[in-house]
Amino acid sequence: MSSSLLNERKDQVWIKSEKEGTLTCDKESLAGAVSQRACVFCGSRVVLYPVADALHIVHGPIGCASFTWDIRGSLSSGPELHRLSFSTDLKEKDVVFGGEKKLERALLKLIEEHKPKATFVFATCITGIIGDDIGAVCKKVGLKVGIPVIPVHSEGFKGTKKDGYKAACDALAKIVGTGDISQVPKLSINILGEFNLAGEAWMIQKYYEQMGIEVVSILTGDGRVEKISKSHGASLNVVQCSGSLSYLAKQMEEDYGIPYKRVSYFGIEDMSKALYDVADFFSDYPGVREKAESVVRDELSRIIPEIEKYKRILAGKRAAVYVGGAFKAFSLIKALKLIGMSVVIAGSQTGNREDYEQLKILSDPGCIIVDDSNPLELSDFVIAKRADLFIGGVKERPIAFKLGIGFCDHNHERKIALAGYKGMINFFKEVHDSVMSPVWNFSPRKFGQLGEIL
Amino acid sequence: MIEDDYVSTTNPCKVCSPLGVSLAVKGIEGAMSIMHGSQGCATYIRRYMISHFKEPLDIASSSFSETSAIFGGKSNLKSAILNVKQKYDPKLIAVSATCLSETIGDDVAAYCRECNKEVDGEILAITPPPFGGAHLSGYYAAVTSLVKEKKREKEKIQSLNIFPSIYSTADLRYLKQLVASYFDNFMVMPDYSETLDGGIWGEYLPIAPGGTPLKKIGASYLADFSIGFSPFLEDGINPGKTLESENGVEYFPLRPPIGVRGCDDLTQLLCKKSGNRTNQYYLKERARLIDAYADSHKYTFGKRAVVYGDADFVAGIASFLDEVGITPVICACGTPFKEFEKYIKSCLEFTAPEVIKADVDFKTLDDLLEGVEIDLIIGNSKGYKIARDRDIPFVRCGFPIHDRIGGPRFLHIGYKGAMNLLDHVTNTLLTAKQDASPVGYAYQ
Ligand code: SF4
Repeated sequence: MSSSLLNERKDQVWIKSEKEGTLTCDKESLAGAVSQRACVFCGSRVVLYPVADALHIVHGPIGCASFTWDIRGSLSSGPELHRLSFSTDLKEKDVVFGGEKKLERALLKLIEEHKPKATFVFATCITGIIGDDIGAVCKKVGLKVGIPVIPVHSEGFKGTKKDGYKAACDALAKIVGTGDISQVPKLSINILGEFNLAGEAWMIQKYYEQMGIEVVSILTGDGRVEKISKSHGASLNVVQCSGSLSYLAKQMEEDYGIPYKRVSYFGIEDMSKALYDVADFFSDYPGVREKAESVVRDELSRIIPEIEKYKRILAGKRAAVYVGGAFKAFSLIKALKLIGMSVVIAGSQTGNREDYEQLKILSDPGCIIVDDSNPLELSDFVIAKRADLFIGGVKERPIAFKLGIGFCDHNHERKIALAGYKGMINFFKEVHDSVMSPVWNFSPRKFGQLGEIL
Repeated sequence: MIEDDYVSTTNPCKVCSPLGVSLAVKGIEGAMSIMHGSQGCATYIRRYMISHFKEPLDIASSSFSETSAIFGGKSNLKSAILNVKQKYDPKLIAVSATCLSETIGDDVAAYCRECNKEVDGEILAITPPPFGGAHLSGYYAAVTSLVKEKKREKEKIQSLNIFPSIYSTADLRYLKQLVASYFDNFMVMPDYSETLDGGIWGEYLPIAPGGTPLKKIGASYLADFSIGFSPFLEDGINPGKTLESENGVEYFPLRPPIGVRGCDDLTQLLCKKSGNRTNQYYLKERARLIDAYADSHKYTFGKRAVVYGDADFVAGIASFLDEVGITPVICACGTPFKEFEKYIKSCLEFTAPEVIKADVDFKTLDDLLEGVEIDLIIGNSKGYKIARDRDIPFVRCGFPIHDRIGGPRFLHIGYKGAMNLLDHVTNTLLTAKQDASPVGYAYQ
């Protein structure tokens, strides 16, 4: 199919209605394949980053900390400690003699200076190798300063980004259950896997509040340690973003008997379903369902004319979707269908078997489904499928632009809210402005062969 | 010393040396980088540089797993090399150690030698100073390794080698144009002016066209002389000095060619070496610049600035500010550059900084600013927070510029670069003055 596809990766690509069988996934990235994936540390950092009143310190060489300094679009309504980058900046000497002392000193000083409500200490490749006992240091410092000082076992090489999600959930689980829940009402939920990019969590929270449901804690968007500590008082966990926080949801079900529901806030259908599912869970309480319906009705009446407008312009255009988690891809496919666009490539960095099965069902015939891809493959697919738009993250952006097609950012660094009803319109506007820009008329692909204009 | 009262790094003013290595390799024709370590580093480095250059930056990784971290990454590296060869077909593969492979003691050079026998095309090992170094030292380490290790050409090709610092793509293009008006054949290395600032392709090219020709790197030891712009660079990572001591290629360590004096140094040397070919074009450019200095001197004189970033950049900008009467009150670099103070002082004639400090983070820089009167901040976009919090006019230049378009094509060097800087700096000061004026004004 594609000249750029390495043999070892053939099973990680699947074309709807051409290929039988299942897609291979959950593999370590192939050496030399220029995977778009990051590391375990990255996964943990993404999940814990928005906890705004905690101190996040990276125990490792400077790169890991530099690369993750304030790169997320997670907003806070109060403290902004999460936007600073702290690191023990390990040097050769520390590698030889160990970095525990340095870490301890750094923690004591930083906690005294910034007075955080908790501290997360991220392990990196180097600390994993030199064998620093981060757990012991955290325990010691925690006892001294009287706040939770929590090790995050995010050694870069010990798996994939997904393992980082798990490490982050383990860390959060140490805060969950420590707070007083006597004031938490029965009609209450936690929102898991929502990171308040561009204020999305606030939007979602408002919908639920309009339904009369209290949101005890959002993990981790606009996160606060105290709220997380009380989250076990809620009656239901609503999990958005399939990969990242389902571990914690499962853990909380086991430990506190709190059931969970998977939802997505991207796309009208999914957003509405997310409200209805919660309403149905609280069906014993009168009026909740009605209120949900009225929220949906109000929001829809506002946005449907807008959607029609975009549909008239964009119907028939083709999109390529390559994102971090597969759940996001599902929602994007549905959303694009709404304005008459088709998805010709759908892939993710970290999907699992069920995810890809779901993608197969959702996608149109001919759609290429791919796991853990790379620039050469993606660009080959885009050309073969004549996509007009690419939706991905920062690393995919130059691929689209070099090929002369539009691009939309849909990752943790974006500054535009794409969730919820209003987010849907933001998204369609973004798609519209990206696809319809006159600049693509100057791109070589519009002239047919590249050679003709050179 | 720093170690004793160490707290932690808060908001680093540097990135790691493997990033500098991959940037340098991006400036070599047909080359591809492999980071020998975990997948994360390569991906993060790509992401960081894509935000600045807004161009594809494919960097492979040997994707360590737990087993490679324990038993060594030799087999991973080998498959990385084979896969890169198959898909990218580079003319040169540059393998950089990372903190991780250094720590476990992988002998990258030996692995590469072994693979060189099996794979057609050249594979070179680059040993960056991973700990305590920064991207600038990684960059120079890569350039030095490449001139040392590259297979030798027999014939002399170029008259001179130029080793720029981490410059913008516009800087590199200017440099090439300037040198070309004196010499027919020369080498600028690395040269990512095309590879990281090219046109739309239409199809995805595994390796971007452009870069320093491999042949020239192999022939660099035969050149008549070399020029570098980091006069206080440490020996082990100094390409010009290496060629001089090992191959007798005369080396001229010049100050950064930012501002009139820096550019004069360069043109004078080129002029002398080429047999006094004076160039009317650049003379006119220089004259226009001096005229512009006169036009704006009242707005710049006596102003007080903070400059931070990479050591070479800070020295060059400080030198330029000194020429137009702006005191670089605080000069700070994120690089642990031992001779930084000497370096800065050697670039200044009319003004004197109050603080010169190497190996700073933004927390330290912010502390240094406390209670100090400042009119202007100049540096990469990572200082935005400080500038915003303290409400000080801010000129973004250097590396990285993550929050603006055009960062990588900001021209700093040469007479034209000084003009560009002058306009930016003066207009930023004027905007601040205008904004602060209760009535606003239409004429300056
Ligand atoms: S050193 Fe390890 S933890 Fe740090 S960025 Fe690289 S892969 Fe991730």
